[in-house]
This record gives sequence, structure tokens and C-alpha cells, in this order.
Amino acid sequence: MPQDFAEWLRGMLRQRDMSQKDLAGAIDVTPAAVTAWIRGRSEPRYEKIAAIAEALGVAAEDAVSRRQPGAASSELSWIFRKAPADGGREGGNAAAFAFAANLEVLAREATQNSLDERLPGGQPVVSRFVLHELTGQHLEEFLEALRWSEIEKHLHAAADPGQKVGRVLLDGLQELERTRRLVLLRVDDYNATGLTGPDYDDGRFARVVRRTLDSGKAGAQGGSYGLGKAALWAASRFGLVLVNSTLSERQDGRHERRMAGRLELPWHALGTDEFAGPAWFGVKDPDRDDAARSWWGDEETARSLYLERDGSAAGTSFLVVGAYDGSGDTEQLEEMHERLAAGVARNFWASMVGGEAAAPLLRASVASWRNGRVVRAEERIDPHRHEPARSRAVQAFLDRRTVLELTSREDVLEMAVPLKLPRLKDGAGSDRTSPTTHDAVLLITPSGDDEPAADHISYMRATRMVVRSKKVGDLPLGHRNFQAVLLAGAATMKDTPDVEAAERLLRASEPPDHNDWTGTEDLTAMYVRGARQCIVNFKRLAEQSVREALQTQDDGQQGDEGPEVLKELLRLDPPKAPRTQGFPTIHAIEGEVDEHSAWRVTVTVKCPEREDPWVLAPAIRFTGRDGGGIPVRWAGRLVPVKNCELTKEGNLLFRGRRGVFKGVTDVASHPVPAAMSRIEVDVPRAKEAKA
Amino acid sequence: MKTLFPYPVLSGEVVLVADRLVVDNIPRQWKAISEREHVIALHEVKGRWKEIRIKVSVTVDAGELAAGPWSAPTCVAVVRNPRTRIRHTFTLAPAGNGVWEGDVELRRGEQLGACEIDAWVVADVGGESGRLIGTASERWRADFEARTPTQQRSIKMVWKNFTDDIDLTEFRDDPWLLDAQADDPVLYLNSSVEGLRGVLENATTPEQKVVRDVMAAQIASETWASMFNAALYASDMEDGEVQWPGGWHEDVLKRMLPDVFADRSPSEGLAELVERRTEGQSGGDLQRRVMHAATFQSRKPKAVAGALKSLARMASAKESV
Repeated sequence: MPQDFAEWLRGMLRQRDMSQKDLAGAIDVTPAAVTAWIRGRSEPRYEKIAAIAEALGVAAEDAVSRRQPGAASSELSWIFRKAPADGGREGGNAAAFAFAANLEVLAREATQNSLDERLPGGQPVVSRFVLHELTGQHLEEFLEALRWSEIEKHLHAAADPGQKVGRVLLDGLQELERTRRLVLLRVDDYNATGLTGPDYDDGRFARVVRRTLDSGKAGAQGGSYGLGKAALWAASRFGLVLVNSTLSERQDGRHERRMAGRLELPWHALGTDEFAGPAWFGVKDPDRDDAARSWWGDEETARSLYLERDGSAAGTSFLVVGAYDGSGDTEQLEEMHERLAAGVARNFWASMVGGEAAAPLLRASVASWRNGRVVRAEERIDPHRHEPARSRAVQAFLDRRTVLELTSREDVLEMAVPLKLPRLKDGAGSDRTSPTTHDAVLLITPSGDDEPAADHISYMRATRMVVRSKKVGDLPLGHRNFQAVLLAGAATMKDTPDVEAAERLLRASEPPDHNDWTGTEDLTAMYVRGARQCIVNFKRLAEQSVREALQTQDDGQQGDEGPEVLKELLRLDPPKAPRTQGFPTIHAIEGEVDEHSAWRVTVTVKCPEREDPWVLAPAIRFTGRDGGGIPVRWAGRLVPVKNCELTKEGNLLFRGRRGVFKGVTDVASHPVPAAMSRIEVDVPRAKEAKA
Repeated sequence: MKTLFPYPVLSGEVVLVADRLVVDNIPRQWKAISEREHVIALHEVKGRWKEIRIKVSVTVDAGELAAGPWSAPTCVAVVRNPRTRIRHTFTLAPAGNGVWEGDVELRRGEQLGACEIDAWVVADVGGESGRLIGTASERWRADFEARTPTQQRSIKMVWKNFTDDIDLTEFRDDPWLLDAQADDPVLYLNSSVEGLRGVLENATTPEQKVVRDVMAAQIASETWASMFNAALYASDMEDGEVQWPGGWHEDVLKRMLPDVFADRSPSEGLAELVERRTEGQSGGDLQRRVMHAATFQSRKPKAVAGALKSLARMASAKESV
């Protein structure tokens, strides 16, 4: 909604620190005329509007459409919050501590936020992670655009090695000085709402850039604790994040390139000036002391800050300056790239699956750059590559291709798992007609033997983010590997009243990390007693359903199979081969057929240790298709090579654990030409007459 | 056993997988197939079935297959039934990327007990066609007697009232009897012996449990010893090479020979035994060794020690009352 002209003009005069009289003089009208405009009693004609714009130093277009003028990069600065008068000192943003600051967590939290802000209309949210390493000239130019010189002294002052945040800062500064290398991580989303709403007060912009621990989310969204955005700041060595947002709804008459920056430092002092910690990057707000507003940027500024977005689709780009993996495992660009891709794939494979009828909820990609050049081209994360069996299950569900009985490897079994819906406290929505159960969808599909986390069940709801993935316990003997997916709430794609109620219940049962459905304070606060038990029963029932689906038929004849106690004692299946054997064995055979069509072999024999040497009579035979074989003779004597010697009778006496001998077969004893044979060598004990 | 070929063969694994089970054109549940155990449980396939089709696929390292010195590789699945001595091969169709797929058919009347499914990769090597360049790293077993697809299986046990049974009435007072004559050994348990079934299957008091454990070990060791003797008589020598008897005889020998002769390989041990038997030795040493192996299989030492311990505990409990 564009403002009326009076309001726009009032705001502009204040911003430009210009009096009505000055304006009247500049555009050659009476002060009374200006007053009339300001009061909204009249509006200037078009030529006057152009003149007003010129006098205010803004584009005529800004005045005509009564929008905020764009800010030149020269107007930007960092503004630090003064320390409170009570002398309180904050050691850093508490929300950021709630995270294990690693890139996988960042990928999870940022993507979750993007999914929550998805625009209605069925288009998938596009989430893109771009790593960009800067050195040399590129680094210098970026730091200049960022006004690094304005914040560097604050960073040094705040880098107190006695505090957790301080140590990270100090480490980051030293690293930057030593390597002159900086990693930027850009997190983009498209087809999302963008940072809408006013600069202060309430709205998406204010919630992300101004506040901590406030999400204002509702309904199906995940981030009910407002922690997700903190993960962005936690991923920066300097607590420094810039944003550029394309808004889905105009704000102050504009929607493109709403930019801002926020720096999260702990309390620090420069000389006698004390600072609370946080600072904002933007245009100094004339209406407020020590506050910076977001600005409407131009393409050049956005480019210099590595924040220019592709195309005009709404959404937000966050730039994490000095991105790092807090776990310390990953330093190199390539590894960070892998880590991000893995983080997105592990948590959002289901969101990225689409079917014939339903588009995926999310498309995600990762790319890596170094000084403006591509290191690893943009790689779309394919859920079917990362999670083949699970993705197949969700796709079959979306395409309505699930079956009631599994008969082949590609099949996906669908079952219903009821979730009892407890009543809300204080009677809210608890009229007689409110639904009492919700049927969640359980999918089971066979998985390959080599899939790393086999036999797991993954819980999810509206956004199909994996809330939890756990191994199903107590599985029947000899079952096949499988993957199970439990789709609850809106993920069931139904639109019955129970869906909304289930979403609300499950959302309330997610702890701050959104990694389980369990008893939470929210659950206790919102629902009558027994709500936790409903959740526990639901999960238990889901696992039980999996077990039942895998159970082989029991035709009630167990009693006819004989006593259990005897079954174990009368097992006929082949015993497991012991690791060490009590008799000499063949360790290796090498050899070939020579020009006389004889086999020439070199055989390594492994002998168990014992005091007496082993006297062995190596035998060679041509083997048949079904085992067994036809013995052939050695031509002449065997040749000891290592740890063995010939006995008088032509056998071999082995000393030590490994012995090697050579031998050639007697062609005359071959039942078929050697080229048509395959051979095995055996080392039975020799029967020698005692000397 | 390590085999040497006179030409290069595949070094990578040849992975054989059963994907789907269809009985008379009706697909059966996938849980009858265990990929981990390499077993297909066919117990529920009873009655008037005509043919069973098992869809299999074979995967080899496509890179190795393409790079090797062989040409025109093909792949067959091989079904062998050791009881009926039937062997069939089924040509599989190449599906690209080192994979072959196709159906294996089991026909009624040709199958008994269990059959084995193997895969052979065959190619032209050095101008010679039809050379075997790889076999399945792990074979599969399609078992008509298995309820669950596991490798674990026990000998058949049947409760019978010996007095009512024409064949068994001669032994009506025996609590148990092994019939090792049949294709499969069957252990008959005499249900006319009062309390036997109760103790073996539903022991509740400590006293009953002591009896059950000792009795079970006793039944098992007798069973193993007589199965071993039957298996030994089923084995033979030919051209100085030992002939494994196959079937359950072979299973029994493979389980027990390592305990009969700890310092010999199973085939060497078997050769020794067959030789002694044919030479007509008295068998004193042999019976001693067999008894030891049967004792080991039946876990008798543990059962006896446990029973004695329980007895001591029961006695001291009585004293303290």
C-alpha cells in the first residue's frame, strides 16, 4: 500500500533534515503551500513533484510512487548499540549458544526457515548455498564495501579470550590476518516471502534482523522458537551476517534489494566508550538515536557485497561473513561444500521429492566459488541419489502407487497409524465436533543391503523435514532390510479437520531442536493431561506396525517343530568358520600354464604353530563345476622356496608359520588340457613310514 | 578353497540377489526373501503349486567387466538340488552397467528340501568361448521347509505316540528315537511317555529345568553320534579322493569333523575315517573321538555343570528353611 504523499514528504524532510521553509525556497513555492502538502490538504502537480524530488536529492520516480529512495553506498555505516546505563554486560547472543555451530546444523535451520516462508501457489522453494572464498584483491574490495575498517577495532576489543564468543572472534581475526583468506557463505531462498514488514515493530524483517528468540511463526511452520536464524550468526566467525531480500509484499513502495547487516558481538569498550555488543549496518535513522535502518540498495552495492540476487523471485539472501564449521572438522572449501550438501540431503530429502501430481516442496543446491571463479559448479541435491529407498517411498505415496502387500523390491507398502488427539486446555477448540484421531501414513519399502542406515523409521509432518530418524527395535529374525517413513499432519496430503489438529499437536511436541516428538513444556501448557502419552503411543504404534509388516506368517504350528531347547542343540546349518584353524591351509596360489601345457604353481602354506614340524604331501587336482575334482601328479619333485625342505620320500617338511613351495604338474596325468582346467591345491598330512 | 584358472577371471564380487518371488503367477510377499541370509523361505508354498519363479539379478563391477581381456560376457543362474540331483541353468538378460536380470524357475516334482541358486558369468577368453570368469560370491538357498528366511535350521523333530504308530510300536518304551534312514533325519519324541513333553517344552520349576537341560543335552548328543555314524557310512573314497556324501550327511560331517580331528582339514579327516572304516579297524579310537564331538555339539559340559550347580543351590535353599 503506497503511503499518501503527505506522509512520504514528512518522512523525507525528516530524513534529509530539511525544513518546510527550505523546501519552499528551493522549489519556489510559498511555505503555506508546503504546509498544505504536509498536512495532506492538497497535493502538488506533477512538475512540482519532480522539483521536490530534485530538492530532496531523490529520483522523481521515488516521489511519484511515494517510496523510500534508494540509498547510495556512501550513506551506509555501522552503528553500534551503546552499553546500557546499568552497566550490564552481555556475553553474546544467547540464542546462538543453543546450537552446535556446524554447517550441517546451519543447512538444516536455514532450509527449515525457507520452507516455513514458502509462498503459496505450489512452486517449490529454491534454496541455494554458495560458498565463496576470497583472497587478495577480491578480499580487499569486499572488506572495503563492508566498511571493515569501521568494525575491525570493535572486533579486536570484543575478542576477549576469557569468553567463548571472544575466543571464536580472536581465532577468526588471527586466522584472517595470517591467511588473508575469508570464506563467505551465501544462503539464498527463492519463492519465499522475503523479509517483509517495517524496519521496527513487528514483521519478518524486524524478527530476523532486530530481535532474538522471537519467531512469530504460526501453524505448520517449524521454527517456533526463533532459533533458526541464530544458526546463521553462529556460523560466522565474526557473528556477522548481511541480508538482501526481495519482498513478496511491497514495503515503503519498494520490494527489491532491501538490504541490512547485523553484527553480534559481546559487550566491549573502546577507550571510555562502552558498547552493548550488537551493531547494525545500514542508513542512519534520523528519527532514532544510534539506529541504522535497512536500505534499498542498488545493483552495484549488492554486487560489491556479494549479495546480488538472480532474477526477481521473492526471497532472501543471507551472507555469512567468515563462515566456518564450529565442530572444527572442516576447513577446506570442498569439505564445507560436502558438509552442506549432506546436511540438506539428510534432513530434507523428503521435501525435495516430487511426484507426477505434486511438485517438490523444495529444490536445493550447493555451489563453490573462489575469487569470482567456479570451483564446483552448482550441484542440485538429488534426494534419490542420497536416499534412494526413502525417496522412492515418498514418491510412490505422492503418485498414489503404494500397495497393500510387498511383493517386489520397488514396492512401497502403505498403512495407517492412528494418532489420538488430546483436547486443548481452557476449552479452546474443544467443542464436541473437534476430531479425536488423526490417521498418519506409514510407508515401508525394501532397501538395499549397502544402505548405511537400514531399518530406520523417519518421522515428518507438513514440510517433510526429517524430525527424527531412528532404528526400529526388536525386528524379526531374517527380515529384509527396509526403510520406513511416517508422514503425519499435513504431510498426509489430506484436508480433513484432524490434519490441522495433528499438526498443532506435533508441533507443540517438538523440542527447540525440532528433532523428536516428545513431551515438551508447550505440550503440557497447551493440552490436557495425557497428551504426552498420546505422542508416545503414536510412535510406539508406528514401530509396532513396521514389525508386524515384517513378521513372517506363523501358521500356529510352532508346537510341532519340537522343543525350543532342542532346536538350538540340533542345528544343521554350516558352522561359522573359525578364524584360526588347527591344520595347515593354503594361503595363496599363483601360477600359469607353461609352453608345455603344464601348470607351474607357487603355493604359500599357512601352518598353525606347534613344536613338531608339519610334514605335508601337497596334492593338486583339476576341479569340476560342482566341486570335487580329479587328482593329477606332480612332475618330478616339489621345489621348497621358503621355510620348508624336502623329505626323503618327496614330501615337504614345514617349519614356521608360512612356507612357500613350487611345483609343476605332469602333463601325462592331465585328464584334459591344462588350458581347459582349473586347479586347486591341498596340503594333507603325509603318511611317512617312521624312520 | 582357492582355485586357480589358466586365464584371467573377475576379481571383484559377483553379487547375486533375489528380487521377487512368484508362485503360479501370483507374487508372494517379499519378506519370504532375506537378502542378508541369502535364503528364500518357501514353507508357505504348499499344495498344488506348479512352478515358482524367482526374479534374480547379478551385478559385477562394470568397469572391470569392460576392461578385462574377455569378450561377449553372458550370465546364467544355476539351480541345483542336492536331493533330486537336478541342475538347471537360466540365461539372464543384460540390463547394462554390469547387471543381468532374469527369472529362475523351480518346477514341482524336481525340487525337494532345498535348492541352491548360483550365478555364473561366462565369456570368451583368449579365443576360447564359454569360459567361466566368475561365480556368485554368496549363493542363495531356496528352502521349502523354512518358515523364516534364515540360514539357521535344525533337524526335524516330531512328537509321536509310539504305541499307536506301526513303525514305532517296536520301540514304544523309548522316550526318543532318531530315524536316520529317511532322506532327512527325523528325531521322534515319544508323546506317550508321560510328562516328557511337559518337561521339554514347558519346564517351570527349577527342578524341571534341571531335568530338561540335562535331558536335552543327552538327546542331542545321542542324535549327533548316530547321525555321524550314518553320515560316515554314506561317504566313500574314489581314486584316493574322498567323496563327500552331500545333503544332511555332509552338513553333519562339516559340523563335527573339526572336533573329531582338530589338526586336520575336514576332507583330510573324512578321508582318514573312511580309510579306517574300509580297513576294518575296530574303531575304538574313532568312537572316542565321535563321542567327544557329539558332546561338544550338544553342549553337554555346560548342561552338566549347570545342573550340578542348580542342585547345590536347591540343597542349600532347603537347609536354610
